[in-house]
Amino acid sequence: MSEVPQAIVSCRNVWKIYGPKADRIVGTPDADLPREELLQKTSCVAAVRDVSFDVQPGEVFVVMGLSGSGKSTLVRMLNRLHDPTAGKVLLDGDDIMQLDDERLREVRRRKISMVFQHFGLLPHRRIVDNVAFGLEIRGVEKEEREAKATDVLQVVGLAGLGNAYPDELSGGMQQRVGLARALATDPEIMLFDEPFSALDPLIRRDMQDEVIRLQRDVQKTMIFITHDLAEALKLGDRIAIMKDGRFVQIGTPEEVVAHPADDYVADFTRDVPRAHVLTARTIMRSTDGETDFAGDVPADAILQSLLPLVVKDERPFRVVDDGTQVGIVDRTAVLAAMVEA
Amino acid sequence: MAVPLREIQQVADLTLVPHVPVSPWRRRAVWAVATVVVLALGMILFSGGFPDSLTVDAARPFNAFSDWVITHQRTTPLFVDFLVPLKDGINAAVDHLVLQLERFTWLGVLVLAAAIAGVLAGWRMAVLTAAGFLAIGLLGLWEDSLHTLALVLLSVGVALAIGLPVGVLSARHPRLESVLRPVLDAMQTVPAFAYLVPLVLLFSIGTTAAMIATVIFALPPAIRLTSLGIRTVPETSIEVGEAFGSTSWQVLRKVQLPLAKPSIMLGVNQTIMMALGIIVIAATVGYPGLGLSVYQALQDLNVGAALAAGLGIVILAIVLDRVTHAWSERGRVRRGSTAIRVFGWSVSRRVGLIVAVLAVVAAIVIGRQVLRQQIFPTGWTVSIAGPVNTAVDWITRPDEAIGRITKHITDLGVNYALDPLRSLLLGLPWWMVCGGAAVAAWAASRRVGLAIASFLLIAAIGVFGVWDIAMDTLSQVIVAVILSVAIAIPLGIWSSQSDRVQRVLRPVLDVMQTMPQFVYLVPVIALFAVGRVPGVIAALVYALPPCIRLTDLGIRQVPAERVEAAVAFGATKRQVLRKVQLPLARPSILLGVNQTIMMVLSVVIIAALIGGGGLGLAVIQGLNHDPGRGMVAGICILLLAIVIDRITQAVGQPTARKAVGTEHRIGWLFGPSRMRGSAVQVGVQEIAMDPREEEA
Repeated sequence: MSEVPQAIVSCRNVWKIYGPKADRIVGTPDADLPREELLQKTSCVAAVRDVSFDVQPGEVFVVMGLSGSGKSTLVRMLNRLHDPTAGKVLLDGDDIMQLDDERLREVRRRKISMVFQHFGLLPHRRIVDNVAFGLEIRGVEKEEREAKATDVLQVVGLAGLGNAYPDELSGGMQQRVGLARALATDPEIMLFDEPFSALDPLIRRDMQDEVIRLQRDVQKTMIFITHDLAEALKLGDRIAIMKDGRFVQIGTPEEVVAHPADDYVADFTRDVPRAHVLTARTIMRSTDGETDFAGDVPADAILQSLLPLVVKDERPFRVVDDGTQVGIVDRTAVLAAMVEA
Repeated sequence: MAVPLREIQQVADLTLVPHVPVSPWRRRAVWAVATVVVLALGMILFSGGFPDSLTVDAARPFNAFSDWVITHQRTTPLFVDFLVPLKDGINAAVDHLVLQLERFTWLGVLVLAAAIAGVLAGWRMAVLTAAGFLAIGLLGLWEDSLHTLALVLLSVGVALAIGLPVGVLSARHPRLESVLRPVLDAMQTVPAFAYLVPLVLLFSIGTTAAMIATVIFALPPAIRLTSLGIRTVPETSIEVGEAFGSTSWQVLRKVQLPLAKPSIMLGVNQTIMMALGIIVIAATVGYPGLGLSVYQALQDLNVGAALAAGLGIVILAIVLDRVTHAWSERGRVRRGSTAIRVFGWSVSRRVGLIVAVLAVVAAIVIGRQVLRQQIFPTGWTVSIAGPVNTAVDWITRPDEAIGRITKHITDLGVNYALDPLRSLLLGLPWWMVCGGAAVAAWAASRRVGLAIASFLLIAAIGVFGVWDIAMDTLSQVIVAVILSVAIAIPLGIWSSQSDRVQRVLRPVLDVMQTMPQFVYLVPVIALFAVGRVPGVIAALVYALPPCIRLTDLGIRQVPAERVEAAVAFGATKRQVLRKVQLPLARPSILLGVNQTIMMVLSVVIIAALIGGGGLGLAVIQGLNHDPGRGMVAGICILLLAIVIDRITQAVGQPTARKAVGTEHRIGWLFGPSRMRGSAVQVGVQEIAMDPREEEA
């Protein structure tokens, strides 16, 4: 991946290895051993291996992987809840490994916040105190932080529940509190560690919509961990697929579905309703000199919307982006893209 | 991360070894016969007991040290600059507190106690406290109670001032934890009697030795439960604190301490109960109060007076226990307003506090200016000692029915259990007894180290020259344990099968566990006079509750689906119990047996106060006039306790220990029903969680 200067979060060849003398493994041939063999040979476990990526401001970057793939460890290295064994984590170009405790706390207090898998609410505090937690830690006066917390509760749809305690709320509402708490410090970056995996499917969908709405309104940079491909496709501007500690593919949802990097990714994406993900741009080809077109379609039209058109007309359609023709699609291309797996 | 390795290990274990079926009964019979033969051969071929030639005069250096202390304590810097000022300070503090309480007058103290209980734990507790103090006054125990209360309050204060910070530190520094663990284990294993003598050597008889012994005894639960509470705060909660930029102090104050509060409050409760629990032992080194009244009454065989003073201690125990318990419960219920409700009237917390302060001031003024009575007026008191003694005399008259029965029981116990067992232990050559300990240790743990250590530690008892009295103590312990377990396990099983039985037993066990151990000595001497049998009976009764509870709990905790599976295959209730519930409850039951043994040991030792003899008697004599011998006896109690504890803890799979770990022992000793939702739950979580829950 090329160096993009304005990246707000960057990882450069980040490793996390647990075990005795873990720091001596990176750079040796052992590092490339499969996990099992590494464990046998050195009794170390490589949780994250040689991961690099950049996240642009305002982007939603999703890391998708099964349990044990290292994704939760990865996200914890972005705010240094865990320290990387090797590699660099850059926030706005600054290496967070270089921060002393004081400055690291400052970063955590203002710049980066986190939403936890099992909500991580503090049961002895009222909802409003949970939401105001980050501000309290930062030293904001009680009146001010409670006012801010009340505002944020409104934003996540929990107005009026500030005096309740966490165990009086449903799981979905608890995670709204978790979300509110992360928003209350007004960070630039929000980390989500599988925030919705403990919720029922319907509630999960609501929460995903909530995140999409929030992202539209507040434009935070979000790094989102999930094991649910549908969630990744729905939320992510870009998706990284993680397996055994490595990134096997980074790309837009479309790229991942249309051009899986290997069998592993292909296996995942097999059941994705392709008609809803793939766009005209993905499946178009350049013109072979045809001149007889049935009409124009926008480049970002999903296949679902092309289907009725190509059923009605056998002639190809021009794919148009910003008023210029960028390619053509026809019935064969649409059908082929939908059955391909 | 070790999982794959473990799996490989398991596969290796599965490699097929041809299985030859042997009837377990046949195997057991062979073992039994072999044991009898070996014992008989030992008795016949070798002379019993411990040869004098192998003993050393271990008492002499201690006596020398004692003499040295007496002659040098006015000149040696350690004494002049540290120990003596410490002693004077403690004496002055306790005296000052007693004096202050006397100055408040009895009315003032009563209202002050009720007010504190009310503010902390609600008006019901205020009423209970007032009633308790009034009862103490009416029983004529007021002055004794002030002394006892002063010692308990100061000891608990010191124990908490040390225990809470140390608990927090040890939770945050695993290395400190691993250093502290064996120390605390030892502190909790050893009967308090064992460390009285060294304290007396350093501080001589008096308040200071009593208070330090009390602090040592009361300290472990404060440290353990604080540490446990902090360590079991969920990892996520701490990550939340850190992720939002907390300093480590902020994590402690805003996350760990609040979440650990139930456990810490339980620690406070336990600390108080422990302190109160050894108040009679404090009396053996001369501290006045309820304990001394019990002690002296026991020595004079004045059952009535012992009962009255014992009742005073039980009242104090119940009041302090219920108030601190209600206080911690209240901390947990944080809903709604902070108002206090009195007879349907809602009073705000602040108004309640003001009323309490005014009431205390008024009571003190009335007590000083109007009543002019520092001590509860003697004209109001009711003596129960006389009537009780009359009743006891009647009961124990050998020609009456009860007297005949108890006499019969005593004879049975002495002639058919205690004496034969003691003769056996003394008739065997010493190395066979030590070897028996080693075999038991090896059978329990399969660890050669533990077996060798057991052999050596028991042999050391002989080397120190107290073999005979140690075997006397051991025979009493064995008899009491067998009887106690034989009663407790069936009761526990019954209780697990019937909610009604459990409902009836629970309050009884709660009360039994609230009462300090020596209180059990009083009724048994009323029934059985003095001797070894009443001590054994007191010990076995005292040790019942934890074993009943752990049996009940172990069976009830068997997952419902496992029982269902057995029922689905047509098992009868009995089959379910025998083939599913009891095997799965085994770790818990074994822990109960371990508890029983340790509790029996501690009571058998103090039963020396009522003629039990053995090592305990040597300690008492040591306190009075023979410090060297007392010290040696104390050390041997420690050795015996450690060996017995290690062996019984090792019984069963190694996982049994982890399942209900040492931490919870403190809780089980004092009523698990009270630990609902706090440490037990947390403890169970701790077991369920892999300590290294990393992504791997």
